[in-house]
Amino acid sequence: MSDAASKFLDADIPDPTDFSADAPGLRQLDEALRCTMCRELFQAPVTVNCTHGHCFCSYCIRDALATKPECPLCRGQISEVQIRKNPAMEDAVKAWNVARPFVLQILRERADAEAAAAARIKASANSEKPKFKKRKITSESNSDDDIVEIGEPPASSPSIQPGSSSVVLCPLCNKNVPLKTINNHIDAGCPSPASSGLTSPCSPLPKDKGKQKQQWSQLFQGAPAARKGKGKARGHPLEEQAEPLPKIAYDTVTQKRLRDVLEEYGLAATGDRQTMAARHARFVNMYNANLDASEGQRKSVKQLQIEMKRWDEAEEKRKTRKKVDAKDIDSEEYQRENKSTFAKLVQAARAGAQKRPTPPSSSPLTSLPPESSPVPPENGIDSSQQSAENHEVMVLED
Amino acid sequence: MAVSRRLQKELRDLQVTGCPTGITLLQADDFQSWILSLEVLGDTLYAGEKFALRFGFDNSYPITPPAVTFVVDDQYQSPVHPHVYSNGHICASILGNEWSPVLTVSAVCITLQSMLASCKSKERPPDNDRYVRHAPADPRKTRWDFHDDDV
Repeated sequence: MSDAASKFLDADIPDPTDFSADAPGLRQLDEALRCTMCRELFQAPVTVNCTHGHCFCSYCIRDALATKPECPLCRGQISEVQIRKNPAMEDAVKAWNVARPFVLQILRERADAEAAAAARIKASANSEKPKFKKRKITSESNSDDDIVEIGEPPASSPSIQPGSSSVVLCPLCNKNVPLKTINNHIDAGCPSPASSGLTSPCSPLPKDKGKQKQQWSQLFQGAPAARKGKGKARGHPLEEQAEPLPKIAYDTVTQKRLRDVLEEYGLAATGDRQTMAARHARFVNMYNANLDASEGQRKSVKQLQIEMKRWDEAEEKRKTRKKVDAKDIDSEEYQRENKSTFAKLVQAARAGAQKRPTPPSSSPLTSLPPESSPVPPENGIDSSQQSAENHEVMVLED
Repeated sequence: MAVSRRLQKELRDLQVTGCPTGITLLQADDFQSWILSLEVLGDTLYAGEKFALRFGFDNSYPITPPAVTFVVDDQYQSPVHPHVYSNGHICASILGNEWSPVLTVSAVCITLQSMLASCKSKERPPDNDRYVRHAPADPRKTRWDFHDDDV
């Protein structure tokens, strides 16, 4: 397990601490654009109806509201139907998603250049004095000028020597682009190099006129063009309605009905009632949260279904792992190790039985004052554990 | 997955920006159980004492609270406090029905630190013996009745 953990540690998980504390405002900006529940950049951000108008990812807050109807930040009463989209925040996050790697690269390059310059100064203390001065000015210049200054360090840095043929990785689309044209490339919204026919994922430029037209019609109608042709979209019951899915009271619905609904949504209808209810609840939250994203940012129903499938597989794995773990305990060894404890328990039980010839039907705890703080769980909750323990004791008695 | 991502971020935050004063990360090898040490600084009843907290996370963290107990072993003892049982279980509302998914490991540590700091008399809960005898392994299975808002 620690292996897996260290793998996670090495993995690059974006976090506000990617920005050094002395980069003015950047760490705070990154933090402000993150959901306080999942700590990711907001996905389909929504505002809730607490007095502060706190903002969360749509999925996160829907998930939390299933437990209790209060704002996680201020505990104000809120309700799921009062959730409102927050498109301004969504736009900010969308832009930051693109700007973030770019800003990080600039900061890295600057730090590298400064380190290189500092090393050079150390090497030849006297001759390089003028350069030292210049570097100092760079680092002290105020933030407005930073962007202008940044162009220089790579030129003086020995590691990145821009030759006429040098190619750099575009920070936005991760494609190789000649250094000469990188600025134009970024300004134009990362068009893919002429040869490849595929549109780069972040290219906002429509390839052909037909697509352009479709986008215009979407703009004016506020609905995808596909909805016009009713017949075509009939393929999937979820595809044509942009309405939130209803919730189900799992305690009252029949298992058959639950299975039917899952099938209707294109999900697996396997497992016991609890599994199906969990699957349904998760999908409804995912689907409804997806509707809170602006249309350009939404995932397709197909994608949601694939994500659900992956979740199903992960859950299945988790359950079987639990079973294997339980089996791994060597029951004989366990009995040997705890022999003295069991003996003591048996003795105590016998002594108790002698005192009270008829075993009490209810737990003796219930007769104790109810004012005190903790009350151990009712028999029903922990019965599996208890019966397992009883079983062990009985085995020993034989 | 979501669980480990969120914990990953918390861990990174603890490592990069440092733990709050008096709190140290002792063990965080996986995303199921972490151990942190806790000292109460300043002029309190617990001056000079060091405790350890074990956090257990399940698959629904942070929607559900972590299982938080004081470590009781050869090295550590649970603090003598009216809300802390001798088996390490803690009666604190934020670990039960007042939990909020925006709370973090570090926030829980700070809350418990201040709970200890504001203690006026070192004593066990009145029902300590009875509770410890019957307590479930997971403190979240106990139905706590939070009756005292002062300490």
